[in-house]
Amino acid sequence: MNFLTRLRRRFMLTCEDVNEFLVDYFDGRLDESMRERFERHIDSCESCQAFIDQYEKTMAFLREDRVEEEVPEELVERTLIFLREELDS
Amino acid sequence: MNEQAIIAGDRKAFEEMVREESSRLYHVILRIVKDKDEAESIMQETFLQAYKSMDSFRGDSKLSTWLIGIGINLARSSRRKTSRYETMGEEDMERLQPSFRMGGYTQEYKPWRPDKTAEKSQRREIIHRAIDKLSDTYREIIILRDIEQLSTSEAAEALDISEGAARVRLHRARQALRALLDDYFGNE
Ligand SMILES: [Zn+2]
Repeated sequence: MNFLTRLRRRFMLTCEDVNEFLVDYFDGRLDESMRERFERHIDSCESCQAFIDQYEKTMAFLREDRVEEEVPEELVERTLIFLREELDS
Repeated sequence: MNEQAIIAGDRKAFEEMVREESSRLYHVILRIVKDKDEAESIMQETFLQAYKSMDSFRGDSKLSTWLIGIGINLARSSRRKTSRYETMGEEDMERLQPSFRMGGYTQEYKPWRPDKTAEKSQRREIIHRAIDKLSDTYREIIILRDIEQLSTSEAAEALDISEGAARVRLHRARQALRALLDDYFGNE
């Protein structure tokens, strides 16, 4: 990142900057002053609001797709038998 | 889970790990190979390989994360042997990224239609089809980080890439998926 980009980002963020920081934002890794600038941009930018809404929904749909159930006990037993056979032969 | 005992080669402790880790490992593998029998056999192979190569466990990640890394590698090679998937190439992944001019989006984004996203089973089907289209490396990070909810750094360890590379890949994968879902959930 060059000096001018760094300097500009201290005062204002573009949509492209905001986009680049999305992973860090959702991981809670932005420091306080960056997060403030990030949120200030979004508050006044409809493009970012619309894009981030889709980005967040994508994440939410993936999260809810997680399978909570345990695999059947038989599957675990078959695996243990497989390992014993392989390792004891 | 007694990591020390497992690393030392204790069979009982290892079997304990098999019981504890089977579910997550199986689900990760199944999402890649998409066939239950194949997923079971790859999971078994993963545990076997882990036991035999315990010497190469460096201890800079959790054992369970290392195990997932082995499972992903085996699942990926199995998937590549068959051609029944509609995986897209890297150029397609590039095309699905947003573009910018003078720091602003070149495209206009509209909220997704609630009537199209509302039905959960239908939504699942659409999500699965979209995940299937992602390139292998994008699919894998999405499975680990966004579905299984590993932290970004754990996902990086499992995939044996740097945390910075994992963040970039995750972002691009989410954006590709967003674009694919927009085809279904968008207005037209
Ligand atoms: Zn913006």
